[in-house]
Amino acid sequence: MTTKQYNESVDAHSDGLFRFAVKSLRDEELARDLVQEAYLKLWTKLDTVDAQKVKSYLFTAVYHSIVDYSRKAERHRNFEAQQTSSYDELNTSFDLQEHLHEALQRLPDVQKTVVMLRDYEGYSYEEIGEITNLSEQQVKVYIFRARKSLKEYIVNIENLVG
Amino acid sequence: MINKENIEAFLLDYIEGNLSQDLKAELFVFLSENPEYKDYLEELPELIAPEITLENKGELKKSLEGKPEVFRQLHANNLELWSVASMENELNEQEKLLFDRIKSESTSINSLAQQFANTKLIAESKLVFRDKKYLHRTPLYVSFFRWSSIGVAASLALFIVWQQSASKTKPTLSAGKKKDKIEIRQPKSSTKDTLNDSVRIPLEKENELVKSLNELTVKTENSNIEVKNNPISEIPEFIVENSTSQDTVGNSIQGLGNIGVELASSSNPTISNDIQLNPKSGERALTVTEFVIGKINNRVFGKTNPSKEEKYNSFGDKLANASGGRIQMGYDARSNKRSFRFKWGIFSIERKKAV
Repeated sequence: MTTKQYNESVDAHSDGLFRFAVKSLRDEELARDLVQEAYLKLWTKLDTVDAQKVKSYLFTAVYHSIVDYSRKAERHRNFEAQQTSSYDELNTSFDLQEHLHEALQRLPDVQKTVVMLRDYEGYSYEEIGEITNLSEQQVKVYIFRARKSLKEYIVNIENLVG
Repeated sequence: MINKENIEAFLLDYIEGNLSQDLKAELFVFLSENPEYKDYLEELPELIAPEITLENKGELKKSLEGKPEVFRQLHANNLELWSVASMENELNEQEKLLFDRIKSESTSINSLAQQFANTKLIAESKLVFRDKKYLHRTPLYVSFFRWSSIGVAASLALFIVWQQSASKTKPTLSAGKKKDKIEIRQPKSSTKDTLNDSVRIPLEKENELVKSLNELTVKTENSNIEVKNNPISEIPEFIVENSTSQDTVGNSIQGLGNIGVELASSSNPTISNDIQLNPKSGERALTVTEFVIGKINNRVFGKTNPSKEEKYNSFGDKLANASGGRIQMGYDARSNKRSFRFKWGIFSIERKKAV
C-alpha cells in the first residue's frame, strides 16, 4: 500500500470509522483516539496491508480497540435488564432514527456492532464475520436478534407516544 | 452442531432452502429436545400446510419451480424471519414476489415487515471525523541517537571549546615545534546547523538557555522534535531526532500513543513495549518522563522532569499552553488514564542564537 493510498483511505473511511466508534462508545474524544490509533497502526503496517482490504483492516482495528476498551471499562450491558426502565424519558415527539439510535445503545455490544457494520457500511455477513471474528451464521443470528429488539423498542415507543 | 446460539441461523437457512437433509433432521431433533422452542416446534408440522393461503396458487407454483420448499416454509410464525430476510435483501426474486403478495393481502403482515424495515439505521452525516488533515502523511524520516552518543559528542566538543579558549590566550608557537603547534581559528558560524555547532556554547550559557526553555516558545510549523527519555522510566535513553524537511507540519508525531509507536517502529525491539506501557503501573501510557522539546544549535535539551504526581498533568498542560492548543490533554484509550496527548504537530523550540 502506498502513502497515496493511505491518504485516500483517510478521506474515504475515517468518517465511517468515527461514526462506528462514536456509536459504539458514545464518547467522541475516545472515538477520535481510536480512529487515530487505527490509522497509525495502518501506517506502521503499510507495507503489509493490501490496499483492497484497507477498509476491513481499519474497521477490524477499531472494533478490537472498542472491545478492549469496553472490557476494561466494564461497559457491557444487558439489554433485557435495562429495557424495563427505558421508556421513562420519552419525548412526546417521535423521531424514528433518534429513537432507533437510543434503542441501538441498549443492544448487547456484539449485536450493536454487527447491525452498525451492516447498515452504516453495507458489509456482507461474511465481511462482518471477518471483522468481528464471528461465523457468518453467528452474524445472521445477531443481526436477526438486533432487528427484533430494535423493532420491539420502536413499536413500544410508538404505542406509548400514540 | 445446532445449539441455542445458532438456532435462528439454521432456521433462516431453513426458510431459504439451504439446509441439507441431514441438517434438517438435526434441526428437527434439536427442536424436539428443546421445549423452550416450542413455538418453532409447533410451527414445523404446519410448514407443509401453511395457515396463510394464497390465491392464484397455480400462478405461484409456476414461479416457484425449483425451490418449492422455501415457500412452504413461509408461515405465520416465521414471518419475522422473512421480514428480516426481506429487509436484508436475502430473498430471491421469487421469494420477494411471494412476500410482496402476502404483504399486499395482509395489513398486519405488511405492518410487521414495515416495522422491521424501520430498524434500518441511517448514518448521521453530520458526524464526521474533522481532523482528517492530521491523519494524512508524507514520508517520515525519524532517526534515533543514543543520548550517550550525544554525550560523547558533547564531551568532544567541550574539549574543542576548551582548546579554542586556550588558544585565545596562547599565541601560535613556532612552526618548528610541530608537536606543540596550536592554531588560532575563528569560531565557525553560530548559525551553521550541525551537531558540532552545539558544543561551542559555553556550558554555563547552555544551562542558562536550557533554563529559558521552561518558557517554551513553540513553533508549530517547523521541523524538529527531539525526545529524550529519562532512564528513570527504565527505558534506555534515547533521542528522537525528526530532523529534516518533508516531515513537517502535522505529519509526523500524532499523539501520545503515536509517539510511542513511532519510536517503537524505529527502535524495534528495544523500545516497542516499554514505550507503550507504564513500567510501574503496567498500563499503557506514555512513559517518557523527561521530554525534550528544545534544541539549541542542535544540542537537545530536555526540560521537564515532572514528579510522579505531575507526570500526566502539569507537563501536558505546559506543553498545551506553549503549543497554542496543538498539544492537548487526553485520556489514554486503553488504560483510561489521563495522559498528555500530542495532537498533530511537530514542535521545535525557537532557536536561540549561540554566543
